[in-house]
Amino acid sequence: MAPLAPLLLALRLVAAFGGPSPTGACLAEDPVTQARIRTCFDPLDRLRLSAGATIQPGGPGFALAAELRLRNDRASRGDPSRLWLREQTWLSTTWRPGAAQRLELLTWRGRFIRHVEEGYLLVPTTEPLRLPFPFDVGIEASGPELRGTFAPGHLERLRVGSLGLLLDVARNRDGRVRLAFGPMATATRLDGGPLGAAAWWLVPLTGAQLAARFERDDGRAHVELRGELSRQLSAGLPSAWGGAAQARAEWTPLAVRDLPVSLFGQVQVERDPGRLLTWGSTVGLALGIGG
Amino acid sequence: MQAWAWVLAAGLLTALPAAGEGEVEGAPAEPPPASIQEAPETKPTAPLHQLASLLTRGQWEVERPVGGPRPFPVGKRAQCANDPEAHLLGSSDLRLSCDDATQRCQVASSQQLDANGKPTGERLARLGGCDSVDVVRLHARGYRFEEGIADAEPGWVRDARGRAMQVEFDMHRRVLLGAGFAPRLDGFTPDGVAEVGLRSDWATTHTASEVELFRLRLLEARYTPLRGRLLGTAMQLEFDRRRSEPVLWITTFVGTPRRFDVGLDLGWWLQLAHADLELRRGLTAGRLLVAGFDPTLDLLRSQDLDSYLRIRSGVGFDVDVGTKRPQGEVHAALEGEWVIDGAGFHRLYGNAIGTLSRDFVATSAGPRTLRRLEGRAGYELILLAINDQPISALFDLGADWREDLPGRTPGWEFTGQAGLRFSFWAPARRTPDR
Repeated sequence: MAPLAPLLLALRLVAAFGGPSPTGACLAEDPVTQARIRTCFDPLDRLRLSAGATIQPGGPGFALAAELRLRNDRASRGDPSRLWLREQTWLSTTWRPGAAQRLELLTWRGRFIRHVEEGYLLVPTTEPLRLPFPFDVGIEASGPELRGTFAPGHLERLRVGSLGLLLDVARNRDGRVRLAFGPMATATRLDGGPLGAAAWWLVPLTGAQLAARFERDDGRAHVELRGELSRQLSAGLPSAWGGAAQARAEWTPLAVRDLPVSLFGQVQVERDPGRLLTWGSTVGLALGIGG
Repeated sequence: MQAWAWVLAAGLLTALPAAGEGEVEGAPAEPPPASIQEAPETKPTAPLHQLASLLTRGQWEVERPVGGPRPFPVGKRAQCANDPEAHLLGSSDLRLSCDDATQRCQVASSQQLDANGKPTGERLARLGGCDSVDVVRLHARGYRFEEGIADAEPGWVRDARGRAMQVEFDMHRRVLLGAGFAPRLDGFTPDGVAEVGLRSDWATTHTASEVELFRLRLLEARYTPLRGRLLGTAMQLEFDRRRSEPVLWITTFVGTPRRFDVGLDLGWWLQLAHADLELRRGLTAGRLLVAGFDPTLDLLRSQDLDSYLRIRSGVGFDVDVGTKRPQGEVHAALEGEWVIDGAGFHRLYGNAIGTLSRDFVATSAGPRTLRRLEGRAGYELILLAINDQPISALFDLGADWREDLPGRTPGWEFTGQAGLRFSFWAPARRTPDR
């Protein structure tokens, strides 16, 4: 029994994170057993554990990842039609073992969009003038994000933080469809590479970011794209372009104990100032706990 | 209507209570107008009420003011009425603002209107508190009605369709992103500037005259790329307090004893991890203030503590970034921030800071003492708001004289800034202009 204890504990934890009880349209009935089946999931409100095969310039490998994603909204106290749509990612960790092992850790990223039914631009004249404005407005901020290896002194990149403005043209009330863009500021320390010495690279709002998502109503399939492109500045070095993009598609063909198991494919491209463009792609399975 | 019916109606209606009902929604009510206070407490019996309503049907009229509906008076508590028979504006849920002297009421539907003026079914947002009234009785007493624009929470106004818009902004509570043009003025070297930061404050009111205020600045950064100057602060926390009792008072006993209050408006200022760096080719210089603490003394301030002029002086622990030497510093500052208008659209700020820093560890040439003087003054003006998030213009002048930067001959440098700031959050002011 003792060897099974960790497994049982894990199962109990999984059961504890089973997420909210589904209701209404999110419940179906098995035609044979008449058992109730959960059919809706929230891919942005769960602990996500994944494993996949990777293809990257160094050769094939595999990657393990975990992240906690939280999504909720809150109506404005004075105006229930105005919503704060809040999405957060906590401790997003990817480990790529093997000869070219690598660890990526994003401590926190938050996206806060203020949804209004009718966007407007107010000109504060004596009689305030209200003009239509076709975007929801929001911000995206992130905390420290690092990339490196477990070996001491092998921290390739540390992004201290970022802050950006988002204009969301999709203006979707539940945040399932999003097409947002805007300027951003970042501060990043890059070590090693062809530049040799470590250097701080700043993006003083000279960068642009794009966030797009399409999610099916039942949450069983979604496509997500995130990208940024920036002109980066560093003391004593010529300014340089940098950028990154990540696209992920996920589909949930089955659930185990109402926990969604998804197939996903992911592609990412990245270029830091003064470095070569790197890319990688991953195909694998993800388990959602909660959501 | 027949004459006998008018007589009957008049007789019945004079027996009915007047406007006030005493039911209250939302915040505590102001004393109702005299005529409402005079109303009897008894409620009409339902048949009488229905009869009055029946007899007066067809006489209801809502005038449309010349030039269109006007907003309810600002600062006057609104009234609300539930009229199931929808006598006015075809709406059963009404907001009113009545003037008992003229016996006139502005009236608006509690529903938002569409572009054609039809109710959308969506209740108005940002409504303030109200006192309940009975429009049937108001009508019976001869009140006249005209279309109005319903009241809104402090800091908000409503357009003719009833949509609420924020028109007062608290720029002390916001996440800001800014960019602009920031040239050096001595010799005119063009440069840009980018700013980010979070500001917040929270006040605790103990009594009407005793308020405590914390001001927080978090993760603020300002970078001028061509000059390579980076100013960043991880956290700055300030405390200010308005006391109901003075800190000390002096009583004189020469002649009639008299008391003289000495208002020492003391507070404190704490800064953690403040970087002031010059990032130049092959050289990073400047200082990192690990922690600094100052007591503050307000010379002038507003009632709500949002505006102030103060002096502060204290000590800090520094690291010279170029030499990595730890330093101690003493500094003194005169600084202030003044919100000129109640709506928060115009803001002036400025500071003048002098700093002396000294190495903890002496070099072969002995311990260094380095001086630095710097000052800024600026004006921020809200230009417009997007979805209630303000965009402001900033005009700023700065000067500094410092001898703590290697490679720079001590002397004055002058900079200017003209830019735009986008402020996220920025709720209505706690003490807006009303």
